[in-house]
Amino acid sequence: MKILYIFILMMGFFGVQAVAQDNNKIDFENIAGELRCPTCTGLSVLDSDAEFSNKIKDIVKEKLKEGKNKDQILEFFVGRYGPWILREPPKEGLNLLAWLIPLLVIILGPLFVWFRFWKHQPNKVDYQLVSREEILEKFHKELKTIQSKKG
Amino acid sequence: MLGDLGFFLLLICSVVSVYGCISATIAAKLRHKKLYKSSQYAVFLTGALSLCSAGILWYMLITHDYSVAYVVKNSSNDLPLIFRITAFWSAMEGSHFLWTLFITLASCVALATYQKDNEHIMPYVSAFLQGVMAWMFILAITYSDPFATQFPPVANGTGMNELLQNYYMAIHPPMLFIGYVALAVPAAYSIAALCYGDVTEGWLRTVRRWTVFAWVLLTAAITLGGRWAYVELGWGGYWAWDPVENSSLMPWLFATASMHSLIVQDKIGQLKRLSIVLAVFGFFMCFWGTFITRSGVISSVHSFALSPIGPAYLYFLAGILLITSIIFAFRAFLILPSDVDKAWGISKESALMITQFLTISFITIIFIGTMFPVISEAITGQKITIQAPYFNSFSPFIGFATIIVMAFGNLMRFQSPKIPGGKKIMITALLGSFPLTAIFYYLGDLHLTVQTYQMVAQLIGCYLVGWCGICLTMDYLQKLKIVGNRFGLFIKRNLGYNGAYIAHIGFLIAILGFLGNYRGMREEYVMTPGQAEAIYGYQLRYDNSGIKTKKVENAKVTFVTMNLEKNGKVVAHIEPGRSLYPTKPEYLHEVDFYGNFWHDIYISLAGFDPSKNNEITLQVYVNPTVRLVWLSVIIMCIGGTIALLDGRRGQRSKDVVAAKWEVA
Repeated sequence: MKILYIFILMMGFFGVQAVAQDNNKIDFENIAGELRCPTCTGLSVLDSDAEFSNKIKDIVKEKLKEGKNKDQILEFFVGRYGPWILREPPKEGLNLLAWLIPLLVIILGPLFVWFRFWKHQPNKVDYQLVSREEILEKFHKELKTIQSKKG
Repeated sequence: MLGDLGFFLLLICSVVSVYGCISATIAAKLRHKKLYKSSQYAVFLTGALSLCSAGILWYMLITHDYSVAYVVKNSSNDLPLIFRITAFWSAMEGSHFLWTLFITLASCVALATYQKDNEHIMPYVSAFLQGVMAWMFILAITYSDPFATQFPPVANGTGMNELLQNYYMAIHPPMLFIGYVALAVPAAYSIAALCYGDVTEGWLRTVRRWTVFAWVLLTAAITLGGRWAYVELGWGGYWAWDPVENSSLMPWLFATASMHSLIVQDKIGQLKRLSIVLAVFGFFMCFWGTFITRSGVISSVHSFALSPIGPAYLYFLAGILLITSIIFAFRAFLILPSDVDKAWGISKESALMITQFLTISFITIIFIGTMFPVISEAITGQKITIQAPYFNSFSPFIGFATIIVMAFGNLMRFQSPKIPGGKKIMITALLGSFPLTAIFYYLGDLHLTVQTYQMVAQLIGCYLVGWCGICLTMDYLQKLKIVGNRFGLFIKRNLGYNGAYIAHIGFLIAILGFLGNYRGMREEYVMTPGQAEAIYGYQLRYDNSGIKTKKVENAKVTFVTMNLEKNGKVVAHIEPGRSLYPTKPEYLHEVDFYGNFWHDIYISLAGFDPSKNNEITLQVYVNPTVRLVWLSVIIMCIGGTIALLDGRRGQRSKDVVAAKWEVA
């Protein structure tokens, strides 16, 4: 418990130290990082220097200068290109499933494994199996009887 | 002419492997040894013929024989020899052919080097492998024909894809394909075990060998792909979670899960059925990945129908899934449960089970992230995108949980809730990790992290890695002590454990490397000659020589020299550029970077204008701990190779008597 406390303290100490950077640049990178490059696979607008992405980057910079915030700018692009332009699907409607399934797997998975496999193990009698421990025990007993006969 | 011969050989191959599949199935049913032998010879014949056929394609590529469309599309007169050789796998038809060739050769090896213990299931193995081969050969002579003729012949080819003219890309596909085909053999053995209704000790030994082999190659191949993206694409990263990358990661994760399930099976005989399922899915995912990348289904559901190869793949995948599930449903009960009484509860096998769970959850997440846009578009008609941010919001948690389970799993023993020396190890690790984190904090420049949540994630990550590393090392020393610190003997007798230790340490280093993504920096500079910018403690000075050009092989490279100075001294010359290939009008990136152990200064030339006083636009990235990622993969591969050499795993007993053949 003490260790955990020290750790939290340490984290707080380091967290405060995180350098403050140019806020405008961070905003721009945040926004451009959440828009997909329309002409490449897997890259954000920020990472790509395709012509289309450069245009989008310019628009983002312009809108930031106009004083628009992140949500407004993202909304503008969704209005223009549809939710396809976002790198993560908006959390609504059917898309909610894409977020819920992983969470359900992580939460319900262990329960499923617990009840299905750990609690319910195949019955050895059905398979006419003798466990290793039982065999060992049997041999030990026989050994003892042999030894006692000898003695 | 030659092309026709190559095609004819492929045609024979497909006929022979159809025969081999049928004869092996009948041989398995009737227990007919001679018929099985004949199917075995069929594989060897296919192997020889497909090698000849591949030789023909290579010969045509090297000698510029433009009577075949594939050569025209992927080669040209000015292409250097090395890339004429690698042009074999630089487009769809050729890489499909390469894969087919490898699976044929792997089948030859698998059927030539089986163990006596497994003799009774070999007909099934042969049938499965040749069934897959038959399908691949049929595809190679129909939709994906590498020998399709070019009429009329032309004088010069259109050239290879410029992005692929890179040495990493030259060896990445063959390695990946060898890894994929190595996963086909465990799958064949799994289906064979189900059909026969028994898992023998020899089975485990063979399956373990192939799985670890596949794992090592896939690890290396995936990283080479990442390295290629890093040096060639010029966006400053190595992993973008794009569908192609995901589809190569999923088989790797299945191979990882499978290796761990095989350990439990080896030691206490549990999890046999899980091993079987994982092996089959690992194999299935290799083809699934090819399906989603080749069929075009990922860019849009509607482009799927455009290529004929998509539906063909879909039928094959559906067929494999159907057949294997039917076999599993009707035969799984025949696999005997373990003969040990005391298992599960709090113990090593449970920790390994949790590892399986985490790995499979991760696969599920990646699968959903890759396939959901397709499903969603099919249902709602609206296109959506799932890219890196989605995966990045889950993977740190999976990664950290894996580290925790990894430490406990290594410390614990089978069938026992006690950790030998647990208290000492835990206290040392929990305390010892603080100085390690602090050292990493200062050397790795963690204070340059911008956002607080990134800092928290990095600190937790570093702390856990340090803790887990200490746990693993103390466990290693403890086990070494048991054999009286005789190091040579310990290594000789425990290659599996030693390899695992090295691979796990490699994995921890990889996590440290991935954490670097939380504190990367990027800047854009517009500069004129002589100008300097300060970045990350360095001075980046644009050399007075301005914009230069040079010729590299068949490309014209435009580049600039940047002098990287630290404390007034020049540390490195970085020469980012753009290259122009004769076959394509667009400029490609030729990034350059200077790296020390802790970070790379990575520069790509975004724009240049010789007419405007040699003005250039640079994208400068500071990428911390990228080098740790490459290093970790080398360590992991060394660990895997050492584990591969272990001949003692899976040898617990050899009391299984192989079944007799009905007909000799």
